[in-house]
Amino acid sequence: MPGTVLQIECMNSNSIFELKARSHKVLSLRILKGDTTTILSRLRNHLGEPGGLFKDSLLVIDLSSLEAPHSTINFAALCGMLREYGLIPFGLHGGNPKHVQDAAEAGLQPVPAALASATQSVAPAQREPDPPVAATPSPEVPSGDSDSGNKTVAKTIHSGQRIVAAGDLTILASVNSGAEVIAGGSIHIYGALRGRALAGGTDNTEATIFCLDLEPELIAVAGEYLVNDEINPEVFGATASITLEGGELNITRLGAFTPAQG
Amino acid sequence: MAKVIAVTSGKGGVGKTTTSAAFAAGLAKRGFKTVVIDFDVGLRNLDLIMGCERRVVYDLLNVIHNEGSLNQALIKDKRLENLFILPASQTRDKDALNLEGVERVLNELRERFDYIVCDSPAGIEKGAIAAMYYADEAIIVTNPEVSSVRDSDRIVGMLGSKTYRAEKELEPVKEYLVLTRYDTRRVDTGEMLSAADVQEILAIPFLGVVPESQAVLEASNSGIPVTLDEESDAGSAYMDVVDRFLGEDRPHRFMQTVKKGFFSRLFRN
Repeated sequence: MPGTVLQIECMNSNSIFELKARSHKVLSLRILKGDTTTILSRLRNHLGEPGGLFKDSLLVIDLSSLEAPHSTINFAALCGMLREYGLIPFGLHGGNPKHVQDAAEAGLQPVPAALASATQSVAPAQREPDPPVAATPSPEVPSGDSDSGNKTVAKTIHSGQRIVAAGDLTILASVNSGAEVIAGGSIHIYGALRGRALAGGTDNTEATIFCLDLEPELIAVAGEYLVNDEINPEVFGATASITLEGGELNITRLGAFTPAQG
Repeated sequence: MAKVIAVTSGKGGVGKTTTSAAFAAGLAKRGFKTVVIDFDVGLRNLDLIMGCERRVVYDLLNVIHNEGSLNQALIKDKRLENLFILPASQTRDKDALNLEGVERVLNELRERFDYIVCDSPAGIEKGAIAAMYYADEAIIVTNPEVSSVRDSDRIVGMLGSKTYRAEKELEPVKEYLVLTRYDTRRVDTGEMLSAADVQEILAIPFLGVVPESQAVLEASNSGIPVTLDEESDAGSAYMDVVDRFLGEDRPHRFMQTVKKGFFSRLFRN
């Protein structure tokens, strides 16, 4: 399941292999109705440009909600298109015996419900991909902004704006109240942080937030967060770095800095 | 080349319509052919502030829906020959606006005027977006207090993304900050934000402050744009704003508390 990390290691002095579990986002394509041609063309619209947001994501095809349980699905064509977008379809959930057989021929294995159940729906691809809105501050961070996923923005981030980067995010100005900056890696703000900064995505505990003037609404690293109210007021206005230590946010005062006027 | 200037703020009641009227009248006074358009459909005020509420026959929405021509809707100001007003409808609401219609009207106006001032309604919904969408420049009217500043900040963000220029990746809308209802004594006591504080947050070019003034209410009651009363503090502040916008150098006034001497307190004004 996304977000959990299991460590199962089998190691002894004669180790010839290591068995480790890794967490990875699994997409679920739940087909409700329609013939394969319609599904393919709608999917093309939804996925946008090849090589974008969904590249290298594992995918399960979920037929458990199919309106007409005996409709024919051309798995070969479907999987071919998904692979064009860099998706890795590997499993089939639900479906009648014919579906299972056709899917097997296309390389799909039957998988249990747990792998197919979706927690968040994925919006259609846009030029600037928005992550799904999360109830708690641990949003999915899309991959594929650039090779490194790092982003630099040289403008003030205004209220209501949201900037997302898969890697490190550098803002060469302030982040205003009501704005959000979200990164899979670290966040560097060469100005005041008055809004929200969420670094480290869901599980990158090494990420750090740096800012020249700390007055945040909310700060988070790898899902652990503090709101303004919960922060020691002594650090407000200081140049600070925020890291995750022992599962808790640690704010280090680095000095004081007055942002230049104009 | 005609310029479309949106006067917007996000927050309501900060002085958009007062500023639209004053700014448009100021430009006309400086010799430019100017039209000011009310985009606040259903809650129109610009006609009152300009003193032409008794001459409205057709409005912006009539023109958009081809129920009247632009010539029929435009109202000539009685005091300044360069100034025209295009009022909003009072019987309809913002849903009657559409961007294609707005574009058509603005293109027709571009052929006749030097400056087109669009008085935006408050908020960030259809009316406000229609007023800012085709803007070349924008005046963001802000009061020196936290909620107004945050709402203006939101608008600045939207000017960078929800406008024609942003969507077509043309040169971005030029933004200017005008701080209205500025009260230096309250700034001194810390009740109000200073111009420097607001500039630091919004980070857009600063056109000037307009002091809190009795003249504004008097002007709106009489239906006279406050710049036509250049004797008043607000009137002259707005004329400074217009001149700075036009590229002139004007020292910033009304930003420091004037210490009244013994005699001026004796002869209170």
